[in-house]
Amino acid sequence: PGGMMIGTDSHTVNAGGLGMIAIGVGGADACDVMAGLAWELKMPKLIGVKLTGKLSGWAAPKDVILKVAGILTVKGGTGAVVEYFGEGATSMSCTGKGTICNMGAEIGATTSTFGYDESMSRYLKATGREDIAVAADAIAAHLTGDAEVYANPEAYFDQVIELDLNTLEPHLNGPFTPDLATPISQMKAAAAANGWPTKIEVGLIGSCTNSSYEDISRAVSLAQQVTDKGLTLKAEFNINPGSEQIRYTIERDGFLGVFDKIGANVFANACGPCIGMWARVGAEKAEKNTIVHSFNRNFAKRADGNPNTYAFVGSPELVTAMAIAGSLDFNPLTDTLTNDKGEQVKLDPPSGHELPPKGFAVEDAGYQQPAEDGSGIQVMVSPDSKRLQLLDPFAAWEGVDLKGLKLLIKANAPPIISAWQVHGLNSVVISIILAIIC
Amino acid sequence: MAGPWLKFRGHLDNISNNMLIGAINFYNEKTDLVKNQLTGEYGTVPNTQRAYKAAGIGTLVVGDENYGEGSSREHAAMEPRHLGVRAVLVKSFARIHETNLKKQGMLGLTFANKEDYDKILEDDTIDIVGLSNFAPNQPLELVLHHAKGTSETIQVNHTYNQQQIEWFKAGGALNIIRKEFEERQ
Ligand code: SF4
Repeated sequence: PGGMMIGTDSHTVNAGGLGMIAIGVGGADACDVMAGLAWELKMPKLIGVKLTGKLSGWAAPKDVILKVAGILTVKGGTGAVVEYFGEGATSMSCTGKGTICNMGAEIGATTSTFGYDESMSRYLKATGREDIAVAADAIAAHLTGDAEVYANPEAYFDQVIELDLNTLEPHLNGPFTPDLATPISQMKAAAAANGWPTKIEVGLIGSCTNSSYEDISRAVSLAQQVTDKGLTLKAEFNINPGSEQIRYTIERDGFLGVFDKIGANVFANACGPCIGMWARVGAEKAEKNTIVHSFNRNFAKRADGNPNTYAFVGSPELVTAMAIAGSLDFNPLTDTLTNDKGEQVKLDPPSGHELPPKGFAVEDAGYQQPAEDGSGIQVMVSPDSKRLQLLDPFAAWEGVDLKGLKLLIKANAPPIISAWQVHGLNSVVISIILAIIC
Repeated sequence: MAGPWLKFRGHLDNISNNMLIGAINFYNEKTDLVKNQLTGEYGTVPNTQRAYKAAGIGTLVVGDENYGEGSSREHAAMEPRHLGVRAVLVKSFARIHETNLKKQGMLGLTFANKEDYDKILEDDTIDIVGLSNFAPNQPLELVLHHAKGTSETIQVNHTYNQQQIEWFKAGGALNIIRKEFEERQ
């Protein structure tokens, strides 16, 4: 908390949920910073989002950002840092804050952030970082906005948005853009008016955006009702955990078993369907079809390469409910489903745990720490390699005017971008390649 | 397009073989076919540039508006630097690419007067003048020596701040980092 971070993925901004200023940058910038160079940014605008009330029932942190995206649009956050504050912010889980900040990338925001609060302290302690929590608690007042600012935000922010979480409805955003926000109560009408296919083929939850313990436990509370109330999943339903730690923990706590029982698939801990890496049955289909997911991006073709796939983004709990019902016409807040006995049953609102009551666990997190002292490490590259080459330093300027240069090319109007530029294939670091897509 | 080059992303000399191969040559409207002024023959952009490099001759790349758009990749600036391009002169830059050029010790320049783009001829030899006094907000001059014997001078602008001018002088930001690192040791 209070730290600044850059990363080579546009969803680096996730760390705003821990009270950081975390910004996604290009590979070159990241290398420079690692080598000690300053990173420069034009002073961003400040957008304040005041959250009053508290989330309850079906509403999730995801709905906050879905609503904000609807207000600001995919361009509205450009050149701005979005800061969330108010009772609704402090009462929300740390991972929920992470989800909101994550999707700030979808409104073009430089980054999003929250002031430090107890939810972050709890999260740090639960994830083995008690020392950081204690250090942050000791200076907590300095890690959040001043009371004057939050009391009178118009005087300090370039733009202020106020949201009442008591009345916030679950949303589905889409298709084809994350800023087309439709409250679930209006989805049936919107789908009919726009000709969106109402049959849901697939529901997907997880990813870096939405696979916290809270997300999964709330989704599981709905999955459990499928069994308890004699329902069947109407859509294919898949879960991709965001890390081995969360996968291991939810397996230990029996959640994967609940999913398994209703016929859901648990994918590898990876981006998977979020960047279209899964065996989408029917992806080649020419017909229009609908999927719902709890990821962050839903541009055409993103999730399965099929331009006819209408992808909608929602909270993990709403996506789970929609996969159970299999139709965009379904509003879990008001509608009933027919069970195997022919009875009308209603889904109870989701419930879960902010953090695992038994703590997180993992056997092999798959993380390899860099050497404490890397000075003795030699990078050896075969001189015959066609694929790798150590860089020779470029020569310094000769100190005189550049004379006698030849014109190599006078390029026509854009697009003058060459192959490497368009496809951006220049880095050995996988995350940089991801940055292009994420 | 990406496929064949992907495997060379860690090998600057090899990946440099895709330098500007997608750019359209103003004079013949073709991609990857430019005149080698030393031989009068036409060849690919990378090969032609390698011929200049072998002859110890620096070159200039001229571009249109929003040059470098879509390229946040450092190689888009490293390849021309590696192959001996000395300066890129355009009507306007995409911001990230302009910064990347500066970091690699290249000169990224813009026409003070965009119509001067038309003054650049295929057989031009060019001098960049004023570098001894290279300073923020101070335009530089380009002298175009046309093949028919005439020459004209045009003004070009840049957005280098003092730090970035140091990068240029050192031959790139990495050289400065290296020097500072060695001094610290
Ligand atoms: S592809 Fe999806 S899951 Fe993977 S990092 Fe990007 S946004 Fe997150």
